[in-house]
Amino acid sequence: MKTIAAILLLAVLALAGHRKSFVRVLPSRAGSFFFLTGTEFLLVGYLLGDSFLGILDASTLDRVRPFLIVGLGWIGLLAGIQLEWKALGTFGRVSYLWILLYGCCVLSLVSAGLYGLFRHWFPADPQLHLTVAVLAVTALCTAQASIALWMQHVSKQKRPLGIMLQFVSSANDVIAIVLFGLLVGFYQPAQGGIGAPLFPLQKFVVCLLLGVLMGLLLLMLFRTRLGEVDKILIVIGLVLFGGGMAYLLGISPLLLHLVAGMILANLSLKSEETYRLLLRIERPLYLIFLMIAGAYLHIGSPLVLLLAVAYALIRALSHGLAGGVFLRRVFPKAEIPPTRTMGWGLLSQAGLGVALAVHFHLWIADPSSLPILNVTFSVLLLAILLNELISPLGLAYVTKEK
Amino acid sequence: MTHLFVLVVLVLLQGVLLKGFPQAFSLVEVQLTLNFGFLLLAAYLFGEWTARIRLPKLTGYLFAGILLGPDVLGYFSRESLVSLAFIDELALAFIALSAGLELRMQDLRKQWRVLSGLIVGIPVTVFCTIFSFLYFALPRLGLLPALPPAQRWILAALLGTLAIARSPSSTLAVIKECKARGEFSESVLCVTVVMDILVIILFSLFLALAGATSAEAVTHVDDLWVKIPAELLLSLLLGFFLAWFMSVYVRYIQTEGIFFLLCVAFVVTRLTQALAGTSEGVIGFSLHLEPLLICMSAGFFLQNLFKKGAFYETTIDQSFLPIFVVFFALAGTGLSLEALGSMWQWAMLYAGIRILGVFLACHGTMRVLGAPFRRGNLYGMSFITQAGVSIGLAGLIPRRYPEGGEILFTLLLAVIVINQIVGPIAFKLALVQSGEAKGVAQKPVGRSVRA
Repeated sequence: MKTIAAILLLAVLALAGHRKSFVRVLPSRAGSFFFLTGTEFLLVGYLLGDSFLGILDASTLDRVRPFLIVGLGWIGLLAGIQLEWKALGTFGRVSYLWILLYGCCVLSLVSAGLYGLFRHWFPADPQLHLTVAVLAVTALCTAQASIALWMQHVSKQKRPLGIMLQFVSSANDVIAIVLFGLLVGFYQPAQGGIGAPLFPLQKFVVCLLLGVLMGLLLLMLFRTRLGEVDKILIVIGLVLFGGGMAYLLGISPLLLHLVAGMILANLSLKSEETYRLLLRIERPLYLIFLMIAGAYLHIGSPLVLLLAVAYALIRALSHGLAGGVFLRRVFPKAEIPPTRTMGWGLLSQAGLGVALAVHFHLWIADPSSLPILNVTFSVLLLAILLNELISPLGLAYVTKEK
Repeated sequence: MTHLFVLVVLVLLQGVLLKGFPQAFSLVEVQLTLNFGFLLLAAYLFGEWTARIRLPKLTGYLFAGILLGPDVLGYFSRESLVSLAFIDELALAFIALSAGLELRMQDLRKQWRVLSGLIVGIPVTVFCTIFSFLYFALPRLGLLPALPPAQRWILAALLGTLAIARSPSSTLAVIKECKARGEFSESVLCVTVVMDILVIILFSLFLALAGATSAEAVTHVDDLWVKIPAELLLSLLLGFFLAWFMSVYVRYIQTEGIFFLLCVAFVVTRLTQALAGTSEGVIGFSLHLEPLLICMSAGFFLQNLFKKGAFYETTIDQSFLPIFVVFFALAGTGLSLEALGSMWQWAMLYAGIRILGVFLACHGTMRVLGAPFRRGNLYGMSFITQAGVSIGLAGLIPRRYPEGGEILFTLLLAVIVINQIVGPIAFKLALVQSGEAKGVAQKPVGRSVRA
């Protein structure tokens, strides 16, 4: 009965939330992304979880785990389908080099900062390196939706700046998903049941190959004459199948579906149509995803809060500094010369950040794992909430808008 | 060819995973993602393939379920199917709602004579045919242990009632697939729905009588006059309130229809289960409300009373495919080939007599109404399908008749397998011949006009 009530409540909240979130835009207020991107549903989930109301308790959360796996696949596919070479090629090849350097710089700065911090609190923990790596990789993500929402309300002259920011964020997201896929391979789950007995790099390669296979199957089916309902069925079926396969083999569903989406985006003539199809059913699903993720959040001690604040600050500084050095070189011939401040516009983490946190929680931080891993998930989610609060300030600074 | 190729790749991939990690398939996460996704895709692709050879897609979904199920290839064990049962329940509620929405009063009123003729004619004729066969012939064939005459009478009546049951879900699936619209398809759906309700009432009545005539009465006939009307009325009442709520949703929200419908289906199925569990302590007897009836009546009220059916019809049209695929593929995995194999001769005989009864009834009704002979044939072909309610009710027989009940249950399952395979094919043919199947490319029959 509790599961029924919980699922019903989630559904009602997702429906109600869908009406509010994504629709109204309040760009002048700091923290508006918090509501625009539906991030407040992380808090709703937290309230519904064991920490407060206990409606989404541990056993209920166990039953809705498959939903999270499917959600990860869905997010991966959505990210992949937006990566069309033709569109990406408009910025020139040198841009990619600078963005890669920018990503490396952010990773190094965040890793260095967090390593010092975490070594102080968890000095002898064998999973210290893994934790730092996960947090650093997640720090790379930027929510494109937040940038797009902000840019709807700035003057037309500044719109190209928004496109550039979105371009950088999408490139960063790909780097983050690929690195995370690699990290997942390095971790052998403590619990039995999932995980193929393969070496990390083998897992990574298997993940890429399966992604290619899924993408090709999707492509082959989409080349036949199909109605919209058929397409929805095929996408749902393949995301379920791919997600389950990734869970079973202990590989990343995000990476697997990212590859599948990329194949579809670049080899299919109907990728735009498919993207719109995915978006149509994405929003309520995404809000449920956020709520379930929020329910996993546990703030056991003030240390978690402290680490989350520190992580958010280190991430913001890293993006700001790395952006100042590298991003202004990315688009030297742009009509509006990008300023040294561009990195500050990439602070919103939402969507993919939550997905990576959930991915980490499901694949790595199982209940039998060490405390540091369970703390990491909470730190990640809290930092995402903080980033949503401060990111409008960053974007206002970059676009010089109130 | 593409469909077949993708299907083979998926089957091989799933086979490799199943061989490599058999223990992982006991995890709910794997069952609800990998297994579910595989079933959905495999059944869909199989259905597309059967459509090419002019069979209903539904037959393909069923065959996919049978092939991949525990009796043939064993891709799905009986245990792993348990975790998918809730999807089956959701789909059934969804289909029932859709069936209710298809029933438009203004259209049905126009053909009330045909409808009332079939609603009276089919149950009476089919019941009498099967009853006579079972009461007089079956004991002589030595299939059943000897029963006292009263018990034998009631058993034959129970099985006769089951023979009346049709499958609204199969009927609706074939109508949707053929994009059929017209008097013929509407009348078939309406008669199918009404007969399912009739079967539930009659079966409960005979089951109670069986209890009353045996030493250890399970349900008293006195209780019965309260229980059955109460259950029916409450189901209709809930259906009414559900329809009102859904009309309010359309008026004020009108978005994310599919998501809302899934929530409605979920709540209805779980609520009826919860009521069955808790009602005994409160009112003295267990209240078994039928989710099928609740959703069907909700659909009917929405369409005819609240006039908000259009929104849900569009929503269902946009999403019916995954629901039908899952529902019938799961039904296929549940169809017992073992039962069919062990009793196929009896099952063929039983099914043949039932079909004969249906054709007799349809021809008789059409003759009385003065309709052409061909019309009787078309209706006869449309009322063969059998599933869902029949399987559920047949499961009660072994409980009532521990001696010989299992044999009868096996026989009934075997008959349902035959009807469920033959029924949709015959119905699709009938729709095509009636000229209402707009979604099927029709080959000209006989000589062309020019010739």
